[in-house]
Amino acid sequence: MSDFFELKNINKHFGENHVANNVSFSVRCGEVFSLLGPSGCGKTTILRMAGGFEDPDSGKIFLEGRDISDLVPNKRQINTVFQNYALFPHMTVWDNIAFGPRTAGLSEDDVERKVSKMLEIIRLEDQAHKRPDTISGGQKQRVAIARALINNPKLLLLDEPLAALDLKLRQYMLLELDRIHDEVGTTFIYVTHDQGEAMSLSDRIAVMNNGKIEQIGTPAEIYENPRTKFVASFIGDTNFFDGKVASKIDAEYCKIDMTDLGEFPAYNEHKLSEGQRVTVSIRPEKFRIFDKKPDNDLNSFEAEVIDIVYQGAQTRYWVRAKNHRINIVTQHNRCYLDYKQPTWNDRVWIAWHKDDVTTLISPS
Amino acid sequence: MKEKRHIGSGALSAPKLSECLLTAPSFIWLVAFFLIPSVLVFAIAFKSADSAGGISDTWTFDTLLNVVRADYLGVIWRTIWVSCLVTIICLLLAVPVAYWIAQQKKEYRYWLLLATIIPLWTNFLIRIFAWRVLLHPEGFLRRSLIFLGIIPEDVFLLNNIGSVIIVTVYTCLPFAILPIYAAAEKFNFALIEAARDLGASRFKAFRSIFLPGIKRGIFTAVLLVLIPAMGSYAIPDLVGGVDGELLGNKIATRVSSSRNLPEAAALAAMLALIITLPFIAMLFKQKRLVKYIVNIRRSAGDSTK
Amino acid sequence: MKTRYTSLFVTLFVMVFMYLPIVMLVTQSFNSSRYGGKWNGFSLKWYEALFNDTSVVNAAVNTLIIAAVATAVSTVIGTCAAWVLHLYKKSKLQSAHYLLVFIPLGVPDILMGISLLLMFVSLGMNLGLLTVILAHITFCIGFVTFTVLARLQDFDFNIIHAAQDLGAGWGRIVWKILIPLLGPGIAAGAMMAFTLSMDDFVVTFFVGGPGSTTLPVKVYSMMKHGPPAIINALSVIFMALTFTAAIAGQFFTHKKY
Repeated sequence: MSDFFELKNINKHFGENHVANNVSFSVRCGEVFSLLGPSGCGKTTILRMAGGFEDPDSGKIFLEGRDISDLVPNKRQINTVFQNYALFPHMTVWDNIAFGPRTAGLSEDDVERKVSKMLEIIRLEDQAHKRPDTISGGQKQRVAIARALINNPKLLLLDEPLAALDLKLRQYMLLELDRIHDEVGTTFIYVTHDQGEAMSLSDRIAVMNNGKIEQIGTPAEIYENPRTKFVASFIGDTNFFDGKVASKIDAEYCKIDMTDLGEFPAYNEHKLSEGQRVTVSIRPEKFRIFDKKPDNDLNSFEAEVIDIVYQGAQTRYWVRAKNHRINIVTQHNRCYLDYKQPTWNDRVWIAWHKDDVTTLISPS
Repeated sequence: MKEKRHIGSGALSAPKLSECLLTAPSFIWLVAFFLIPSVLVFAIAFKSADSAGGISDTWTFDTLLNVVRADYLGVIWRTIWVSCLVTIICLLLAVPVAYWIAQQKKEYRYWLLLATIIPLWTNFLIRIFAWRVLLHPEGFLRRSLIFLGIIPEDVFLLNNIGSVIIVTVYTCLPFAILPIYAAAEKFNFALIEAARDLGASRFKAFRSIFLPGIKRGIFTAVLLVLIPAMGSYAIPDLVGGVDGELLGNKIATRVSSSRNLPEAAALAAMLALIITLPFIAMLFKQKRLVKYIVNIRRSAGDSTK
Repeated sequence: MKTRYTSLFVTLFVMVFMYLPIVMLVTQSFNSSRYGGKWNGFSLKWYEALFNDTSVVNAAVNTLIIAAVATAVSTVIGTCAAWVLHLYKKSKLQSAHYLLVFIPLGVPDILMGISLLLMFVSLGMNLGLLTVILAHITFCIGFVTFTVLARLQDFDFNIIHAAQDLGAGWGRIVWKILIPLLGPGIAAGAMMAFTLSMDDFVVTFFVGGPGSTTLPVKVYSMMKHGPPAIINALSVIFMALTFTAAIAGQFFTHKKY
């Protein structure tokens, strides 16, 4: 299957700084593909190279199998929604959206028709004759999207589109973006540093760090099955334990010696052999807290509660076991109500299932 | 070969060539009409004058020695103390004004500040001339003062060193108020209340909290007043009389009436040195000052003449 | 409440100090008495005398010619300079360029005047309109540059990318984006250059010659030798002119688009 949009072995330096290190990925037609990473990881540079605003030092970019690496931005059939919107401040909403078709030399009738349709899609018909500085952040964002979509690009690049909005508006705009995506069906590449945005919007996510892609996968794959320590810690919270493989149990499971805490069975995803060093990652919500040692089909060890933070929908516990500080989240389900809540300095047993463990091979 | 484009520097798809092409006009112009002439001043100070008032071809130290030997030293000394005194008076007036304006409501501040700048919009010579009218022996001010018995009949307000100082303060004052105000506006006045709360008197709070807080503004003000005052020429020429002459007048005299260009160059070189030494010292101390001075002068809408 | 009252009194004193001479001047220009010790009745006779003096009219024409040319040239040069200074902030060439543009702003006029004079004389140039215009352009460049530069500082360069992205070529970008957005900033710079050129006395006095007398130089020689009352009238007219230019400058500085 030929990929819709593809970056092959892209490298880019800014002086000493290797901002894109052999980056390759492909995007499927119609999907929302996110580039997720901390600021300075090179995700914006990748996007700018896709848009034609930066040239890669090496590597190729393909759209529908055609090499577009050397095309200027306006010949790529790719449009960009810029950080901080980059709306033309001296033009009305209408004129901003109409800029593309007017530049293309369309007749005023066609421009009018297209702009009206876009305004309808972004639901801003009544704001058409306002200047950008008189409308709200969320509205500006929608104008920027409409302006970029009006030329019917094959691919829409969005650079941190919600970064400038407050939390409530961000959540609303996520739904709006999703709706607009469903309505126009254009392929989106979405750059963000916010895992929540990436998780809720994307079909697939590429997690980036230091100019490299760490992992590509669906949101669930990335959360449940991170491939590197960076991905595990960047997406959601987690607890890391250093350890090594003590023995193999069977073809699927092995026993891992988690320093100080003892040996526990775990799913052997990477088919590790005895003696190999691993980092074990267990998410806070995978742990359960018991007041006595649970059944043997759960892994468990004894710990002391050192801090409790009530967060409404959930409660976060910090427990200490040997030299480890472990972060645990429990949901307040009805069935637990009759169960006595642990308090400070309680001795408790914390337990997890052997399949809820992610083993990460430490880079040697 | 592909050109590198930096996001941070905001470079567009323009190659290096376009940077050079766009830099060229101002760069070449200022090298030709600013840098070279400035160097020339120092070079010509080592030439002697020819009989026609031009510049002869011979190199000599005599011009410089003449300048140091002759009665110029008195003028140089006067230039220095007059400019220093003007600077001090400007600061004494500007600090309370800035302090007061900065404490007013936000919407009034702009207008109050504008009110202090507006006189700058009048032509420089006309501002001097207005003082000549005001201080004139037959003018309104002297007549009123005599009538009120404040000054005796034989006191004249014009054509002495005093009038030079007053008028220089008048032209320089806005350039002291602006930077000090800019610093005072950012000053957190709650600090003064805190000091008062801890038992400081109002004056003590002003002196040991407010003044150190606007140090940078005072610094800039000193530069903006001192440098033009040192180079001032028209003011002493028009309101100074004989004992009000400053270095600028001597330079102008050597250019026009008793023409001796090398000597004028030597005097100008001397003035340039006196001015640049403290300036360079301060510049190294505060890099951001550069931008700052420009902003102040731009917002004043005038140059310090 | 000591300091607060002290500062209020000083402020009031400063305001009186700043405006007294100007108010006096304007009233005197309408006073038929020569020195204005007392008011001899309203009169426009000094204005009449002024307009009958052809040398004043000539000087006004010279002032406008010089200011117009100096403004046009320095605006173009200064705008280019501001553009590269902003665009290539990090390049070494621009740090040198920045200093070269900035330093002349800190140099007293008398030094700029004498250094240019010495150069023109060394080159054997005749002092006149040309030398004055060259000198005026020199001191205007820096002010135009920094006025435009301040405007560029809050200009989002992604706007240009966005326009390119939507298919606009450079012609369309300049016409539809740059001119509307940066135009007021450039106009403010031009206004400033015009005001500075029109106002300059010291530099013009040094590098000017016969035939290049400008209004300030004329005012100066009248102050030295001429009948004082006419200058009152001239001053008021001149003041009105500079005020107009300065207000226009303020308008463009604060106008957004």
